[in-house]
Amino acid sequence: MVMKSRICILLMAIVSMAIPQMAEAQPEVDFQRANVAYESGDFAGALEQYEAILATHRHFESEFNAGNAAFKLDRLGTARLHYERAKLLSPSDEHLKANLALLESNIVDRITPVPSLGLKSWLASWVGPGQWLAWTLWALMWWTLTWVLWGLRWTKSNRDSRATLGFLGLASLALGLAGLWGVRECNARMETPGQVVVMSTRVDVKSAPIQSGTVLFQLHEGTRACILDRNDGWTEVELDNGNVGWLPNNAIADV
Amino acid sequence: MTLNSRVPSPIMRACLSACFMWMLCAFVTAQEAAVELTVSSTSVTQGDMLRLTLTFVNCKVKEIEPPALKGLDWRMGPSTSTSTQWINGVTTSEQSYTFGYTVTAGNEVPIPSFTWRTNKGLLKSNAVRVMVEASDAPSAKPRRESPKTRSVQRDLMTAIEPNKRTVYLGEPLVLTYRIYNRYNNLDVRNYDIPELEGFWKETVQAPEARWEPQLINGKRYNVATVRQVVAFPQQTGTFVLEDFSLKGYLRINFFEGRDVQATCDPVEITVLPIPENAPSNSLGTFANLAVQQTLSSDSVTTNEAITVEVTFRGNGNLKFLREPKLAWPSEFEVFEAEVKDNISVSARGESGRRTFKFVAIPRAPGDYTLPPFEAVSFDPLTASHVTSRAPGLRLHVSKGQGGDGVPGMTFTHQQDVQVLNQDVRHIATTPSRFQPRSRPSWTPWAWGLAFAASPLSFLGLALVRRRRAQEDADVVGTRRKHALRKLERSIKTADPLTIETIGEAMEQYLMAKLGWERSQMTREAVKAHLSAQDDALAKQWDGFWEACEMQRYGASQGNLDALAQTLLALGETTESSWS
Repeated sequence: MVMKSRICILLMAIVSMAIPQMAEAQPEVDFQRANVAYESGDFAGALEQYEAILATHRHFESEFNAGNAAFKLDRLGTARLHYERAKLLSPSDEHLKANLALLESNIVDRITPVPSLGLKSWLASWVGPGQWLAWTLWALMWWTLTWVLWGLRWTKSNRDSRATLGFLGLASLALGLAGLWGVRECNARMETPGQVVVMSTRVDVKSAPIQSGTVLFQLHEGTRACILDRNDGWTEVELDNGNVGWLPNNAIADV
Repeated sequence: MTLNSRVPSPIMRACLSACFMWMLCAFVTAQEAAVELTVSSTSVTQGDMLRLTLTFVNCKVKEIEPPALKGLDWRMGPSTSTSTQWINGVTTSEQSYTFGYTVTAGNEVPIPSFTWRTNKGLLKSNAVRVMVEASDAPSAKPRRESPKTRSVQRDLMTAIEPNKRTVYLGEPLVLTYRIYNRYNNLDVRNYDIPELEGFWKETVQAPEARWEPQLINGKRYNVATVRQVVAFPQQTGTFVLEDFSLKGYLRINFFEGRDVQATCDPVEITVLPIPENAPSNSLGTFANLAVQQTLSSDSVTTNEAITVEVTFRGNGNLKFLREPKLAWPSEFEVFEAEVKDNISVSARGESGRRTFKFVAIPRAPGDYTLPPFEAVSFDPLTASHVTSRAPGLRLHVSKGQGGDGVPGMTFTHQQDVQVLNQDVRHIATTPSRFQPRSRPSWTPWAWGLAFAASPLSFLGLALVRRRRAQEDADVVGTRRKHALRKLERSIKTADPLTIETIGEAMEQYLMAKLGWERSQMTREAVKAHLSAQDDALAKQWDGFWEACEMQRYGASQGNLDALAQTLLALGETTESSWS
């Protein structure tokens, strides 16, 4: 009787472990099918399948490939959107950088960034969703080292050694907490969009979130902007060159 | 007397004088009177100025008016001159009248014979035929007018006189800057020549300006040419040339004078675009452009330098010509071309030749052909794109001494990679892990466990440390607590198992449990102490002690293993019943 119950528990454990694996098998099959469609020239079909995967999963390769398919279809806004989302997942990917550069050369709006020290962008590059794992490992390493140092402190009878280990433990704890801040920021970036991409062929950027607002300038499909505020169907954005204005939500898509 | 005898008599003098006068009159009357008509040129271009001169030889005209001629518009004159020659006793007197006409006819102008009333009676002048050539195509429509006759109406003025009013883009245009002056005591202080916007200009080298008399509309002017410029229009459209101004001082007498100023009339220049369908390799606007390419030698050895010269000849701004791109064989190492110019800038425009001299070194033997070179240009004279071709060149390259030239030298022709198209990188085919959006990208329990592991370990370590401290503080209690474990270890590790080992293990156990020293350990004392705790247990221990003594002293020969098991069982019983 005891033996039978043990076997049941073991089977349930195996099944519970296999369910996520089976769930992952389906998007992988869809991914390969989308790749086949892309390579056969059916870019519209491939884009549709990639987006179906991305509706339920976060996946760098699917975002990248969807951007490629949209680029082939000359849908620059959609391509930029997928590339920017892929950039959040893996900012340092070389192929992605090359494709984004090519895409930007095809976009109508040429935006020269405001000269700056680059501190903001430098910091932003450190807390993207793609760095979540690195931040977590960093925090875990220093967190563990903190307790190890404090544990070692007990083994020392010398007062100076105990003080040194105690201080090092505190320093390690500070680094670990910084890592936890990075984890939190990465998670926030993943959950809350910080940028938008213009999806309309051409859209007026207004001075206020109303239809009668003064048209400040125009943006074209594929241009990226940072979100400053949201207000009743309108989004306040800032371009890399410092220009600020309001865009209707139906003309943009969140990254 | 002698002097007087030699003096002619009055009668004789009178006779000689009469004879001389008769001879003179006879000579004079022997010369025929005539009227000659000459023109400055019998071949002119429509719009040109034609000078017509009537010379009355040995006669004088009573009245003279400018002859009305079909195809010629009278503009100025007459200017007169007279001369008298006496050669070999023959006297010839001439009186000339020069008229200025503008040629308006299209093909030819017949100047008929005119009858003139002179002091020698009615005389006829000769007839002349003037051939007229049509002017250049772009210039033909807006006829070139004589700026002198059109605009010179003031006593002092400046003028910009173009040789054409309508030109094609890049076609040379000669601009002459002149000052017209009727004053005799003019001191030119300053004149400003305006910048030519939309034109590339070359200044014609000319001697220092000086006044030259001219008759214009019957008035005598002093004319100075201050500058001549060959201008090449760089933009299409209509350009107005003006602001050629002059400041001077007019001296009235020794003490008086006044400042005078003069400006020019605006001159409109129309620049026409080059007709469409221009070939992409067109060099620009040149008249009579010809190209020629030459080779210094048609047979060389490897690594021996050759010189290829490409020469452009023609009229136009040859300085605009850039280095031609020749189709060199890949085995040739070609150096940058040297440019040699032989270009002259004159009032007729800019002409000459520009030569590009290439030095090339063939690195491999073989027979090579430099393909024919074509130079396409727009010829404003024919208003069409024309192509000049230089025939191709053949070159035989033989092996140099010692193989292919310099020993160990290899030649590889390298060139920059030409990017033909751009495309996105290929898709990624190896997927990473799919992260469901419904679930966070991490498993909280796993990370929570990882983060909790170290503080939990720390806590466990603290507990162990505390326990160990407590044990260190209670030695007897600890011995008692660990008595059974020590007993078991002593029995298991005993090798060989002897009655002494068993007895020692029993004593150690009881000492630990009772907290006694070895000196206190007697059978009676143990029995008495245990009896106070548990009588049955005291009896068991006493029985076992006796069994050990019996075994030891040979009273019985029991099984040592069984005895050891009994000891262990007794220890367990003691632990359970006596805490």
